[in-house]
Amino acid sequence: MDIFKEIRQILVELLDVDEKEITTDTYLVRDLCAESIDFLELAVSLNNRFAIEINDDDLFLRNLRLYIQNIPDSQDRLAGLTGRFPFLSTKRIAEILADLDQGPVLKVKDLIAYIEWQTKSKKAA
Amino acid sequence: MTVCSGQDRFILLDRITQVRENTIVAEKTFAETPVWLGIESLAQLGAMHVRYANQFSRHAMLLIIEECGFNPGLELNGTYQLKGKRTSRSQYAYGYHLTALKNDQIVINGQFLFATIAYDDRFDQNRLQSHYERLFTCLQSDIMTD
Repeated sequence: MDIFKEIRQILVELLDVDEKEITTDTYLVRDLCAESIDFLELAVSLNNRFAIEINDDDLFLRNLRLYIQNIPDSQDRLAGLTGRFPFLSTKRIAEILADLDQGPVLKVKDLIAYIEWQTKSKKAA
Repeated sequence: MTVCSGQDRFILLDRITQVRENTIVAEKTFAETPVWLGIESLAQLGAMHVRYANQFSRHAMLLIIEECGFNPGLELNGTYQLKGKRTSRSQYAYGYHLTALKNDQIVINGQFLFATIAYDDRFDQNRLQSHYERLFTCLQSDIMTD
């Protein structure tokens, strides 16, 4: 199963965009103009397609900035976020931290990472 | 703005006859009723099940009707069985396949998407939570549950 292709197909149908516009590095909000209602639809579509539990807050990094705000000054921001988003690599979290000022950071590859992580968790359970 | 539905009240479910983790069944008797009110009945049924699934702790609303089929010119007369089956879910959104049947024949059939939101200034918890819990209880007569 190619998770990227499956997600791309869902996004094409949901957001009415050309599949050529979507790569793993595409931003959902910045590039595809996804809105909150689209995220609700996307969440159930992913649940339906991959049969995994979907936590909207985690998947869409909804509380990311709140978590960052609450990291004590004494703690490294990278270390503070790693446990919050276990499906994201340290490298990706570092990228996100460097990208925060540019706008919403969620990318297609973050959805892929979440699905892979949930699928592994489900198999392990 | 006043919205007039043409109904004495806007609860378009007479009785919930079965509720389980992923399914809900209800009845509604219509008299010369346009089909859109049947669709509204199905939406109310799905939203009721979403509230039940959340122990009434969040407000539920119809987000999208993804597809809905019925015969053009259909008018609803008599007692209909309304069935809902949850087909997908996330933390805040729920997909349902909802059908209205008369004499075991499907007359309305659709895929509906619902969302939940936290109670807030617009959706007052003190008023709405107890209202829907009471309504749900009232609609359960001789109900079957797991």
